[in-house]
Amino acid sequence: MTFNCYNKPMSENNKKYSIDEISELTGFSRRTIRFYIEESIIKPPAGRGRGGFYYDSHLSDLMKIKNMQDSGLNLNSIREILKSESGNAQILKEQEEVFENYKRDTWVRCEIAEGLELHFKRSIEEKSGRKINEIIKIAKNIAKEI
Amino acid sequence: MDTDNDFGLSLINGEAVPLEGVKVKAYINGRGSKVIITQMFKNTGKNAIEAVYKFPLPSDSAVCGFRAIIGDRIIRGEVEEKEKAFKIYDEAMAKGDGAYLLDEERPNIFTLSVGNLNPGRSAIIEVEYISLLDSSGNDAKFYLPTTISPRYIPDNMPDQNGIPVDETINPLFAFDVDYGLKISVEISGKNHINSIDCPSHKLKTSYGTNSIFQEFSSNTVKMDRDFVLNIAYKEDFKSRAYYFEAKNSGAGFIELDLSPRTDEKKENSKSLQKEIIFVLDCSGSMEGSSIIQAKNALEILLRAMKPGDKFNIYRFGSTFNKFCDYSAIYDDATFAKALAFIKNTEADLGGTEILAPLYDLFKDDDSKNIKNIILITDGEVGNEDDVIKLVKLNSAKNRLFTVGIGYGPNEYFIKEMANATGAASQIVHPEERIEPKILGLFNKLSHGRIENIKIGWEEGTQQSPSDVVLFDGGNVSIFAKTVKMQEKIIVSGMLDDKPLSFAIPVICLGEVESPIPQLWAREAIKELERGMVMQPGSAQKRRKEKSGNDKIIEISKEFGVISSMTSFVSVEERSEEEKTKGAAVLKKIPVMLTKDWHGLKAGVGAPAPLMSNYDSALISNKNICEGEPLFEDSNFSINRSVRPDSFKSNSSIHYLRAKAFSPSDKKFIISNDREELLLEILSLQKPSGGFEISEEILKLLGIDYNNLKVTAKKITDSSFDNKFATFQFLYSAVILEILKSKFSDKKDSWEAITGKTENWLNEQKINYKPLIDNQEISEFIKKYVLLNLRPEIGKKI
Repeated sequence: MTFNCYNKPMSENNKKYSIDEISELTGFSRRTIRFYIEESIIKPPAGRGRGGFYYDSHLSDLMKIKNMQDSGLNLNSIREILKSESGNAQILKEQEEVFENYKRDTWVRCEIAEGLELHFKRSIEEKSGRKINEIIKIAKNIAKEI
Repeated sequence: MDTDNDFGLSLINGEAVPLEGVKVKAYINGRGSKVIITQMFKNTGKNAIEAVYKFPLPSDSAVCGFRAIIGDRIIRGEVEEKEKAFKIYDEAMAKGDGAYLLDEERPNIFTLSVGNLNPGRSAIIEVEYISLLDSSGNDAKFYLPTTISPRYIPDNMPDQNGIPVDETINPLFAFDVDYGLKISVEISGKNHINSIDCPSHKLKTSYGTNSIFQEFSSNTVKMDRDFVLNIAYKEDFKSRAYYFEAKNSGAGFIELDLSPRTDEKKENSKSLQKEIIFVLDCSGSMEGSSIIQAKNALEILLRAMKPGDKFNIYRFGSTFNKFCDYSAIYDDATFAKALAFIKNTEADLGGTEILAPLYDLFKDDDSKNIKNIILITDGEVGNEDDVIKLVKLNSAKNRLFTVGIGYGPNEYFIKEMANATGAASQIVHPEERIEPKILGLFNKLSHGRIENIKIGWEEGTQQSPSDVVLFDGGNVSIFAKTVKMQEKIIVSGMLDDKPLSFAIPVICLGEVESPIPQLWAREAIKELERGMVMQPGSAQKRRKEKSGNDKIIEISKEFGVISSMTSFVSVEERSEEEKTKGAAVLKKIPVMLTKDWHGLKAGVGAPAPLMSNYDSALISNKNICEGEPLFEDSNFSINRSVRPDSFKSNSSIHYLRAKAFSPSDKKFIISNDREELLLEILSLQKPSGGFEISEEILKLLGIDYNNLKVTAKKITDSSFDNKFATFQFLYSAVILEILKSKFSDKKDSWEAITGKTENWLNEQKINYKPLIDNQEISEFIKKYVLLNLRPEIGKKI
C-alpha cells in the first residue's frame, strides 16, 4: 500500500533529482532511501527501476520524515502518522464521493398542484436550476387550468 | 520433510524461495579454524529478483573472504566503506549487472544481498572466515550458528540511520524451510585428539592419515540450532607465541596464546565471604527446554555456595522480581526457600527487558566488595549495546558472569557482557551436560582471575585486545602488530595476591602463510567498535566517533576483514543481452525458527499474542516437521538424554554418555562414567558442608555400605553427649579423600565447591577429636580408600 503524502502533483514541477542529489539534500543515505521505497513509505522514483529520478514531492516527503525523526519519532510512529494522514485524506475523499452520489442519485419532488408532482434529479437542479424554476412556474400556470 | 533429498526449493506462501541450500566446509587445527560457507541461490520465477538473506556467524570470526560464483566466473568481493559499498551495489543493479553485497548488522548477524538474479539463473556465494575456538584446559569448542533467534526490541529503542533495528537484525521467520545444511569438518592432528563429541547433531566419522573427518550422518539437516563440536585433546593447551611477517607491508604480527596452569589450591578456607546475585531470564523466549536448563543451572550454583555467603535471585522479563529485598545469608533455611522460589519459576514474564534488573542491581553500590552476578539467559535482545554500556560503566564494582542457554543463544551478547566486566561466560547447548560447565564458571568466580596482566612487548607494539581477561587454567589469545621479531615475551600478573610471571619463546613462522594479520585486524576493529559504544555524548562524541570510524574503515580495508563500518561488495558486469531489464523483485529469505524457541513444539503454531513482541512476520503456512526423524544413520551412539533433574539426589547414574567415534575404532572411544559419578557425588553435598549418605554412590565406588557403617561405630571421640554423627563424618571424609586421590585430574570441577565440606570436617575434628583404633583418623581414611575403592575409579580412560 502506498501512503500518499505529496503536497504537489508530480506534473506541477519538473525539477528532477538523482538519488545522490536527493540523498545529499535530505541527509538520508542511499540505503535508507531504498528502504523507504521498498517499504512504500515514499513513492518509487519515476522512470525505470533503480535508475529513476526523483521530484520535489519526494524531497518534501523525505524532509517531512526527517523533521519527524528530528523531533524524536521513530519510523514505526512516523508510519502510523503517515497512515493516519493518508487515512484522513481518504475519508474526506470518500465523504465527497458519497455526497456526489447523493446529489447524483437523489430525486426532488415538487408539488405543482394537488395531485400533481414534478420529479427531477438534484444534480439537474444544481446544473440547471433556473430552467427548472421556469418549468415549475409554467407547470403551475398550466395546472391552474385543471 | 525429507531432509535426505538433495537441496530442493521451498515454497513459502506459494512462492519459491531462491535459496537452495547451504554447505559448510570447516578446517580445524588446534585452537584455530577456517570456515567456508557456500550458499546456493536459484531463481525459478519469471521475474528477475533481488534475494536478501540474513544469517548468523560466530561473533569472534574474522570474515575475510567473499566470492560470487556465476557459471564459470568467480567474482571476488572487495571491502568498502558501508555506504560506498551499497552505492556500488545499487548502481550495478540500476545498470542491470549482477551485484552481491555482504553487510555486518551485528558481530554475529550478517545480511547477504544477491542483486539482479535473472529467471532460471543460479548464483553461488562463498563466505570465508577464520576464528579461534573457545578453549579451556585441553578442550576446544567449534561452534557454528545456523539460525537467528527472534530478538526482542524494546519499544523505546531508537532507529539506526532512520531504519528500525527490527528490520536490520530480525529476518522473516518460518516454522520450517526446505533448504538445509550440509557440513564437513576436517580436524588435523588425529593423534593428539582424545575424543570428539557433538551434542547438537549426529555425525559420521572417517579418518585420514593425519585428520579426522566429520559429516552429518544424514545428507542435510534443518537449520534450527547451533552446531557444536567439542574436541578433547590429549594434553592441555600450552602457552606459545608465533611471529609472522606480512610480505606486502613488511609489518610483523604476533599471536600470543596464554594458557597459565598453576597448582594453586582453588579454595582458601579463610577466603572472604562473597555476594552472588543470580539473575534469571524468564522472558517468553525461554519457555521450553531453556527455562528447565536455566533452573537446573541455578540449583547447581546454589548448591555450590558456601555457608555465610550472601545471595539473591532476580527473575526478569518485561518486569522483574527478586527472592528478597536485600541479599540473604546462605544457610540451610535460605537454601531451602531459594529452591522453592526456583521451583515456582516459569518463563512467563513477557519481553526481555534486561536493563531494568541490572539498573536495580547496580544502584545498590555501597558495599566495598565486588559483587558477583551470574546472569542466565538466551540473550535474545536487539539493544545489546545499551546493556553492554551499562554493564561496562559498572564494571569497577561488579563482575557479570553469563550463562547462555538454548538451541540458538545470542553468543555475541553473552560473551561481550562478561568481557565488559572482566568475567567469564559459558554457552551450554541443551543436549550438553550443564553441570561441569556451570561448576567451571563458578570456580572462576571463586578463584583464579589473573589481575594486572603485563606483557613485555617491544616498544611500538599495538596489542589487541588491550584489556586481557585471563583465568588460571583458561586460555586466551592476544594479537599484536609489531615493529620487529622478539625472542621471548615475558608475561606477569597477580593470582590471589601472589605475583606470577612466565616467559614464552616466540616461534617465527617464516614463509608459512598465516591468518595472524587478519586475526589481529579483527581484534583491533572489535576494540575500536567497543570504544564507539562507550563514547560520551556531545560534539566530543562525534569527533571521536569520526576518528574511530575512520580507523575501523582503514584497518578493515587494509586487511580485507569486514566490520560494522564496511561491507564486502562485488559486481558481475554483464553483456547487454544478459543485463536485467526492469526492476528486480525483492525476495526476503525466511529463516527457520530456532528449535524450542518459546517452547514451541512440533505441530503447534505460535499463538498470536506470543508473537506480538516481535515485529517481523512469521511465515506459518508450513507444518512443523520437528517430530519427524532427521537422522537415519544410527551408527553412532551419542546418548543425548541429558536429564534436567540430573543434579538431584534421587537421580540415577547413566554410563557412557558420549561416544563420538565409530564403535569399530576402539582407541577413540572414551567413557564419561567417572565424570557422571563425580557430578553425582557433588550433587549430594549439603548446603552447610558434608555429603548426604548414598548407598548407591558407595556401591558404584566399590565400597560396602555395611562395612563402612560398622567401621564408623569403631570411631571414638572426646565428647560425652553422643552428638557426634560418626557415620556421617566417616562417609564425608571418605568421599572427600576419594575426590582428592582419585579425581585430582578433575579438581577444576570440585575443588572450589567442596571447601565447605573440608571446613565442616575440620570443625568436627576440632570439636570431637575422633580416633579409630587409637589412630589419627586422616591416615586411617587414606588407607581405607586405598583398600576398598574399585581400582578402575581412579583411571583416566
